[in-house]
Amino acid sequence: MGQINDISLIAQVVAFGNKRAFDKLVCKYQSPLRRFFLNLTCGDTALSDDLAQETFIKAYTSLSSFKNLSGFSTWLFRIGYNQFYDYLRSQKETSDLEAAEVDGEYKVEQVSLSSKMDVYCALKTLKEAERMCITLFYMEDMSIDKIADVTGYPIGTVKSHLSRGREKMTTYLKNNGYDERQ
Amino acid sequence: MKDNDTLLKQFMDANRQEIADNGFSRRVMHRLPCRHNRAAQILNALCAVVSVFLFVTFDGIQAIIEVMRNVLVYTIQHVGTLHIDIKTMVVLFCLVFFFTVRLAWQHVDD
Repeated sequence: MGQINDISLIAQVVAFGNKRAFDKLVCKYQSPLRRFFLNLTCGDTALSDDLAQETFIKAYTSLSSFKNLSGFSTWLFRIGYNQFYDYLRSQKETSDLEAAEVDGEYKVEQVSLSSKMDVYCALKTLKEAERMCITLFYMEDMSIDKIADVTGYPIGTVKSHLSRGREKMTTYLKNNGYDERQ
Repeated sequence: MKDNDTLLKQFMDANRQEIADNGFSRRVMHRLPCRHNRAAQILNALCAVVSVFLFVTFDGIQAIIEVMRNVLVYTIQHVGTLHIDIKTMVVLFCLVFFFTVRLAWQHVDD
């Protein structure tokens, strides 16, 4: 039902240029998309919002190329995934002034301000690809097939990223006494 | 393995947050580019220029005045014999109303 509604809204945007229909899509998907970026950036709210905004704008401009092969949300997250890696690439290109140190300091500040410190600290122990798969699987409840669609990784690779990520995160949680609190 | 999965699931569920909009969608909508097709805009401009050129070349103003005068003269001459069809008037009114509302709606959307 939700997917049919999405398609109807997309048709209104593409055929009639109806911006209100796109506004409904933005309202519906802003929370999962911003949460996705928030987890990927380990709690950097401003960066997450910028990335989410760029993702929606890109989705709007290329909406006519949407083929509905795997649903609007998967397509949107795919754009978000590309947006995030474009951002990482651009950061690497401008990393002359010891970006690692700057990033480290900045992230520590962000995390200390956040009430969700634990989850971001746990996610920081993962590599980018592992964090991506863990976030999509556990936070956004995506199936392995859909994660493969979003990231473009083969299913086997998604499974191994999930397995390694799960291992690292549970080790972190156990070391911080989480299994005892359950 | 299953314990790890359950632990992680519980942890992530507990930390899943719904993010309030707080003006985010409004900011996105303000930043959206215009979807009008560049080619269509150029074609429209070209057609407008050709129309103006033809209008001036064939003395459009004179032609309009001529037609209006003829209509006025015809109306005055046949005012007693004119038969106004109510159905046609209603349909005409509905059409004009529909296109006016649609035009206004498009302006509001843009």
